[in-house]
Parts: sequence; structure tokens; C-alpha cells
Amino acid sequence: MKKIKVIISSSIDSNLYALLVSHLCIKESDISIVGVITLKTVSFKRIKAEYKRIGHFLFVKVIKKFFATSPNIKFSNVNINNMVSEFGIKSQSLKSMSNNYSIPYIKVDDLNNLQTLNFLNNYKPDLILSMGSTIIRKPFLDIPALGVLNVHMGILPYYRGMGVTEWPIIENKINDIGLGITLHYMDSGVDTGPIIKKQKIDINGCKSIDDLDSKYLIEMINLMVKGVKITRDKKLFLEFQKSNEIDNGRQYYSTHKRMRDFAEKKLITFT
Amino acid sequence: MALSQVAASSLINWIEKGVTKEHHLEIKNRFNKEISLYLQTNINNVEEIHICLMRQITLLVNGEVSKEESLKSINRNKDIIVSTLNNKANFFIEEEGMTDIFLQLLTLIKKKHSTEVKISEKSQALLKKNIEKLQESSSWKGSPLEIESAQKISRLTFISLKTGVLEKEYIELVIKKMIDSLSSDEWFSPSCTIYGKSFLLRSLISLCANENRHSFYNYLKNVCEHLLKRMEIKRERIIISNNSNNHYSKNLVEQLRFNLALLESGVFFNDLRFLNAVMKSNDRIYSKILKIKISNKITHNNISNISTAIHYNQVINLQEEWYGSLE
Repeated sequence: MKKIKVIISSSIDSNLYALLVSHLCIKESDISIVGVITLKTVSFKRIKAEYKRIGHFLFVKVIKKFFATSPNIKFSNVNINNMVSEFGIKSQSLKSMSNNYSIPYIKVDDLNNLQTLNFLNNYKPDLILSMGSTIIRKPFLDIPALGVLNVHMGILPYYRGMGVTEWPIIENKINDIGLGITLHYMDSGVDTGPIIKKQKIDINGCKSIDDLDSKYLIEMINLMVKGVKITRDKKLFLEFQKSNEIDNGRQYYSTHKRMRDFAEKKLITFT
Repeated sequence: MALSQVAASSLINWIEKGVTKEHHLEIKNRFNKEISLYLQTNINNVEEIHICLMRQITLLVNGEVSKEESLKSINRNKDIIVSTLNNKANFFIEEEGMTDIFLQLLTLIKKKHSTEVKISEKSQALLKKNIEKLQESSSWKGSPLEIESAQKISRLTFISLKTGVLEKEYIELVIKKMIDSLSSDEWFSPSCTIYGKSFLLRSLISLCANENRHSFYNYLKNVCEHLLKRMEIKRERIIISNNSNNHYSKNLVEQLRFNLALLESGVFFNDLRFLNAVMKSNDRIYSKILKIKISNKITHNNISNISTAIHYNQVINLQEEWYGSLE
């Protein structure tokens, strides 16, 4: 069987999710990673945009990131070391992984700039795996022959946007819509592309939103790799999101701390 | 390493704590004390309408008044308002005038506590004439003068609707004409003026809330979705600051009116995303609100501060009432 050519696109170099997905893809004999793109962490434009987006929580993100990537540190329930050893990973960043496996690697200011597009055109991927990326525009989306895959942390088309781990709990929708993830092709809208697969997440044993997030991470990694295989084997049953479904489904935004606290309290009553 | 992690965790906790419910309640209580002191100091020095309304609204916003007491006081206020309005040839046209501030505050009174204000037919006809004259040259996308007219109509219709000064049917016609030339997608676009639209939005909410599946329903739904998107994605402290030459305090009150609109639309659509957006917005404006100090002076600036404080208290009360009902 012809190998499927994949490019990994990640928001940061030390993205655990992207790192684990990449390692699982490397282990697959008929998946070939032909390139890795990450965004520059220290860029004035990015810091400005992030600060505007999340305000002073940017500092929290930076501190968490710094300490979470240090060895022997457990933040919330995601023990980096356990996961890394469980998956048999030797590298702690996408850059070192790319070096180890001689994969072309590029760090860019913007995923939609000319430098990125040239890199993509050069390696002609069949598929791009988008992990924690920013907004991706049409020229980027048009390059891969098969499309750009994303795993969204919510059940589409009902829960689009951000904070969708907490929102179904807040809105009391655990029993009907449920908590879960959705593998889909990206288009120019926010989580509006054709759906490949939905997967519910079992909340049993989760005592906090952080517990839930760890559970999501494992499931997202597995679903993304599964997505590459489904696409490679052309065993796709696409569910196109209809415009009325997109209109009826709401776009969500990050939760205020008190809303998150409320979701956490409510989560305990469900588990 | 263990020590640095403890330090990091403490730092994270400190940053994440940010603005809390207690911070907002502290300001709210300070405002109440300062307004009470202002009223006590000036009770003999200002017009009766001024002191009556202030006292009434402060009490109602704080929820510290019995229904009987409230009705008695409202009826007294109503008489004073009606005579004031009837005596003003060009009443409440000018924004930020004393009467305008008082009328805006009057709109904060919950419906169950309020009674309609009936003005004379002559005054009503004059008000309609003023609105129609403004309509001839109003546009949200036009020249500064046309925008100003649109802002005036928006404010006049909202106050008239809330106080019952004009008939609902008449206001619906005025609003219909206004929104016919303003698509819901344009409300918060960079090329369109935003300041003043909170009144129009709140009129739409009020009309839709009173009639099942009002003809404005879908339009309102789209506008609210755009407002939510704008507030959540851009995360501006004040959404109209970019293209407005207004004084900061004027824009701050407009933001508070938008926050009220968000809460009202959230209740109307039964949608907690709006409460979430307001909580974040209130945290963003906290540092600006904190700087507001109410003195005992009878100056326009001080009255404006009182108006801002009462709007803020109202937003916090509604926010906490809703959040409290979830728990």
C-alpha cells in the first residue's frame, strides 16, 4: 500500500498532544510524516494577540507551560513523564523528534504566511493534522490532497468553539448530547467542516475539569491517529454539517472562572 | 525544584484569582454608601425630581424597599416626572442632560415596581414630531449628523418604551424603519458606529420579550450572536472605544448598558453564554469602575458618576441573581 504523506501542524513546539500523535504515526509503517510546522512561541504579534484573547491568564499559561515541560513535574492529572514513557517517546519537543527522525521542520510566525505555504507546497502532503492551531485560511486548507484533520473537544454540530468540555455540563446536556470529541475535516468556518467520527467520553472517575481534560487528551490522540488510518484506507463516511444545524448549534467561548467552578461542582454530581 | 513548583503554583493561584465576586460587591456597597451620603447632604438643595428619583432608584436597585413603600414613592415620582416633561418644550432630547439621566435611571426600575408615565397629548405629539424630524436624516452608516440622529432616536424610543410615554405600536414602527436599513451583520462591523445601539438593542429585547415570536425575533437573535462574538473574541474593555470621540465615562456607561442588554437577552433566550460574557466583561472594566468616586457636589460630572454607579450596581445585581439561581 502506498504510504500516506502527513504534515503535523502545531501551535507550539512542546505540544504534548502533537508530540504523542506524531510518535504514534511514526510507528505506523504506512504513514509517513513529511514535515512538521510549529508557531514561534516568542513573537510580539503572537503575544499581543494572545494577551488580547486571554488577558492576564497568558502568564498562567506561560508558567504552566514552563513547569509542565520540566521533568518530574505533575500538573493536574497529566503526568508528562508517565505518558511519555507509556508511549515510548524519547523526544520532549517536536523539533528534537524531527531531528531524531530526519523530518523537515519549520517554525513560523503565522500559519497562513507565504513561508508556511511554500513549505507545504514543497512537501505536498496528502493530509495535514492540525493540533492546537490558530485560524487557518483557505490557501493553507487547499494544499493537502485529502484535507486538514482536526479533533474538536466537543460533540459537533452542537458544541462549536471553545470551553466545550465545560459547557455541556453547565447546560445540563450530559445525558442527551453528552461529552465527547469529534474528528472532522477543517473548513474556513469555526468547527463547521464535514464530520468523520464522533466519540463520547466516559466521565466516570473524573472529579475535576482537569481530570476530564486528561481523559480528553488520551482520546484525542487515539482518534487523530485513527482518523489518519480511516482517511488512508478511504473508509470514510462523511457527515456534512447542514447550514441549519450550524445555525442551531451554538458557538461557545472560554468559560469565566466562576462558570468553570460551577461546572466542576456539577461534574461531581454526575460521577 | 519542589520549591520552585510551590512558588509557581502560588503565583498561578494569585493570577488566576483575578477579579472576584467580592471585589464587585465591595464596590457596589461603596457606591451605595456614597450615593446615600450624597442624598442626605443635598436633600434640601436640589430639585424634588432629582432627589426623589435618586432615592427611589437607589432603593430599588438595592432591593431594600417594600412594595407598598415603592408604589407610594413611584406614584409621587410619576407626578413630578409628568409635570417636568410637560413643562419642557424640547424634553429629553439632549443626551446627558439632567432629565435624560433621570429618565435613563427610571428605565432600570423593574417592571413589577413601575407604573406607566402618561404625559399630555400635546407633549406626546411634540415628542413624535421630534422623532419624525430626526428620522428624515438618520443613519447608522451615514455622516456624523445622521449618526447622531440615529443615536437620538434609539435613546428616545427606548426611554419612551420603558416609561410608557409613547404607545408600543408607534415605537415598533419607528424601530422597524430603523432596522430595515441596518442588517444584523452590520451592527458591530468596523465601519459602523456602535455607540448608542445599546438602546436600540434593549428596545428589541423588550418588544420580543412581550410577544411570542415577534417579527423582530430572528433579527434580534442574530444581533445578539454578533454582540457575543464581538465581546468574546475582541475582548475589548469597552466595545465602542475605537471609533468614538466620546468622553471615557460616557463610553463606560454604554458598555454597562450593553452588559444589561446581554443579561436581558440571555434570560430571554435562556442562554448562559451571555451571563458568561457579562461576567468577563465586568471583570475587564473593574479597574475603571474602581476609580469612580462619588462626592457630595451637585455637579453634572458627579451626577454622571452616580448614573454610572447605579448602572453598574444593576448589572452586578442581575449577574449575581442569575449566577446564584444556577447553584
